[in-house]
Amino acid sequence: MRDRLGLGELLDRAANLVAHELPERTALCVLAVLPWRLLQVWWAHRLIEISSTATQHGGYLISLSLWTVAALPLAFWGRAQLARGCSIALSGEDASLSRSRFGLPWRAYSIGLYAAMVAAALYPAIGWLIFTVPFVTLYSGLAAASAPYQEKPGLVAPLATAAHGFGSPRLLAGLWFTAGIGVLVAAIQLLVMFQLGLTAVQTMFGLSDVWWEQMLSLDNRLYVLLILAGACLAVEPFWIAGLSIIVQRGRARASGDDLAGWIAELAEADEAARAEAENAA
Amino acid sequence: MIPTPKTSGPQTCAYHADRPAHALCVTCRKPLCRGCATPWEGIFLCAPCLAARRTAAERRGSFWGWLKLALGIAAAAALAVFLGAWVSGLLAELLAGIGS
Repeated sequence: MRDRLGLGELLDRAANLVAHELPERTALCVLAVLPWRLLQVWWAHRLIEISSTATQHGGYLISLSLWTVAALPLAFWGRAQLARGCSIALSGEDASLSRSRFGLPWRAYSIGLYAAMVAAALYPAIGWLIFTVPFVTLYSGLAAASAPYQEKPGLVAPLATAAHGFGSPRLLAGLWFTAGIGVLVAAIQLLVMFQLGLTAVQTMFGLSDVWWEQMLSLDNRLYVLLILAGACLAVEPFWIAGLSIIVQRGRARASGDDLAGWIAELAEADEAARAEAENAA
Repeated sequence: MIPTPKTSGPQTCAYHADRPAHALCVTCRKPLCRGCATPWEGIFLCAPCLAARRTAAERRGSFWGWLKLALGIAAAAALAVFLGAWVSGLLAELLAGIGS
């Protein structure tokens, strides 16, 4: 009965959740992540600019880092609201959330923010090993996806909540791979869209603006970083929805709710068959 | 062993007039029958006093819980800020050195 969740099924359900089941205002909460992403872009841009003398600009780097971390609570609020919307939609409740149910409890938000802050510290601490980045990204995503269910603060709580949801390591690897490809495809689409827009404006209005051409060129580092940030933002709802499905599945398995649901389904089918047999007699 | 306070004369429960008193609530000093006297941390309390103590304990726990959580978030944020600046600065300079 406890069949494994396949990657295809997970992606289908995540896409369906974001596209059809989430209320628009919940989906728009992902825009709260925008300031954090823009500050990350600015931080990376300035860091590359001063790279050869970076250690001489300690105070400046700390101020950049401070602004980026300061934007994290708002970004996490957006992610956690998205995860809450997903959890309500997955539980089969009415998706048109009332105002009171729209809000995430402060305690759950704070517990999730704690884990998200730790993830933000883990990025520079172990992210330079490169292979650790997907793990920290997963932890950061799970902090948001499991936020609606958290009651006690703890660093392993996001992982523990989702532990039963991951059927196999292949699912996790598939999710990482798909998210990576998704970011790449979204970045290419954004690049093509901006280039087409520039070409259309130049053709329609006969403009030949060198400044815009330079701005929207791949030689412009800031533009490339902004495209990457935009691509991450576009993939983010699907990533959170996918992790929310895994967390919800993990919780159902840990509590036995999935088995209880299965038994209820069997009992209903049995009851229906009995009623049908009585009617036929 | 929970001490049972002695009363000077025969008394009835403050909540049940037909039952003999078994203990006194240490907070409000009301006589209590066996059913109404609840031992809590070695003393007898009546239901309203017990509820008041429990609420106060929950409030204290909640305050310390919030404080610990706030400190945890602040510590993690400070770590993120300083590690972000320090490690990225070092790495950027290192990579620039390798590049040149």
